[in-house]
Amino acid sequence: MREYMRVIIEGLVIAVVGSGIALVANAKNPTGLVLSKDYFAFARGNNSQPSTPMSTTATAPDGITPETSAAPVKKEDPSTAYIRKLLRDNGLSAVDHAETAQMFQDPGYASGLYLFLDARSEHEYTAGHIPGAYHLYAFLKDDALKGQILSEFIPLAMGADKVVIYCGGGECDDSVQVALELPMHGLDPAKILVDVDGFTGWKKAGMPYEKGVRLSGDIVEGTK
Amino acid sequence: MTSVELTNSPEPSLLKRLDRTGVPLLIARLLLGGMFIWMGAAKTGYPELILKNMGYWDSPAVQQAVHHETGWIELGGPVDFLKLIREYDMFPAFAWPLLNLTAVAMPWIEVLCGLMLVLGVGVRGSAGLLLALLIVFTTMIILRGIRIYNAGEVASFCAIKFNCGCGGGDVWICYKIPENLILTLLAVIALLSQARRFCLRKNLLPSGRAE
Repeated sequence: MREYMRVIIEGLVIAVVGSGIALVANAKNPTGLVLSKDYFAFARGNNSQPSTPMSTTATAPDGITPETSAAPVKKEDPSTAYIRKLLRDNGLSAVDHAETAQMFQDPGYASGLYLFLDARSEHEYTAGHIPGAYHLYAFLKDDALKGQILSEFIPLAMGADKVVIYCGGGECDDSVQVALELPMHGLDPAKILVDVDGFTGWKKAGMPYEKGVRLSGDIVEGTK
Repeated sequence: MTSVELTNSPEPSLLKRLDRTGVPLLIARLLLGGMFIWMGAAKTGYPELILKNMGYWDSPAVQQAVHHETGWIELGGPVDFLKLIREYDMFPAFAWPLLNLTAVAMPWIEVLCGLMLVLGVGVRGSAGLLLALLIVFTTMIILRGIRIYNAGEVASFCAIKFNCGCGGGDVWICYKIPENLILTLLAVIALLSQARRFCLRKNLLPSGRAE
């Protein structure tokens, strides 16, 4: 019994030391978490919960017996239902890929009538984004940088007809988080639209995307 | 023990003799420790930070390795891990500070335990802690898989694939569960082994008896 107690105490000591290291590392990490922030309060406010977990596929890997590797069950993606409900509960509007693509192809896009805002991480944004889309990471820790981005974006958004915010699609609700923040800086919520299909839907439809920074010119023609 | 008792003491079993060599413990420590150093570090956000600071992040080789669709390394940070563990509904809504703390602390605890196992320091405590984490998270992975299957979105249980927050990106559930069971076995070996060979300091805390 004494031996087990010693192992438990040893484990607890390691956990405490590890947590201490983690707190220091997180404080120094510019992409770390703000521990005092409730990141998902917006999703809890109206009892909105993801209906099914993210990232499920229905194609079995090699080696699985043929009878279990059946074709995926074809249904409407229920994960957009979660985002749509979240948007309705917060008084925001949803659009799908078709509407986003229409705005992208409209001549008004080049003149700033429509703006796109990417809410994903920097890594995901630079790997590919809707050409000309601005970037505001939903979990950006650096308040000064966030303030700088918003001070540049909000005036442009005030002059635009619509602002379309997107993230990964599916149950990614980072776009909703950003969408809820913009009215706090004076933007009319009626202008704000959230693309529920996200960048995943954009690429799946074979639309062109831009790599690197905004207006880098590195355009990749999409393939379906 | 008297000389008669020593002479008549039973021959140690094969497992005990094997354990005394220290080799099973060494293998278990290196495999388990190495895996958790890898999986934990991938979730701390620091590999990406270090590569960026050293100027290697934009190199074609690194970009190819970490590409979120075609790469072979899944690097993330506390934010990515937070989003993943949120899916498990581990804590009630009001306990969001615990969720934040878990997202920050768990990767570093994994790295620390992994390092201690590799070095052979505090072996039992590290193995015990990893064993507890493995039991909890393997159970949660199975429950999540059952939830996905019951939602009727996939044709079979083994067709389920998701990012479990284990540091390896999207994984097939029928590969992940056996993998975790093997890691659990390695943790049990490290926890129960009586060997001390190849360990720098097996017990972090003094045992209170002659070693």
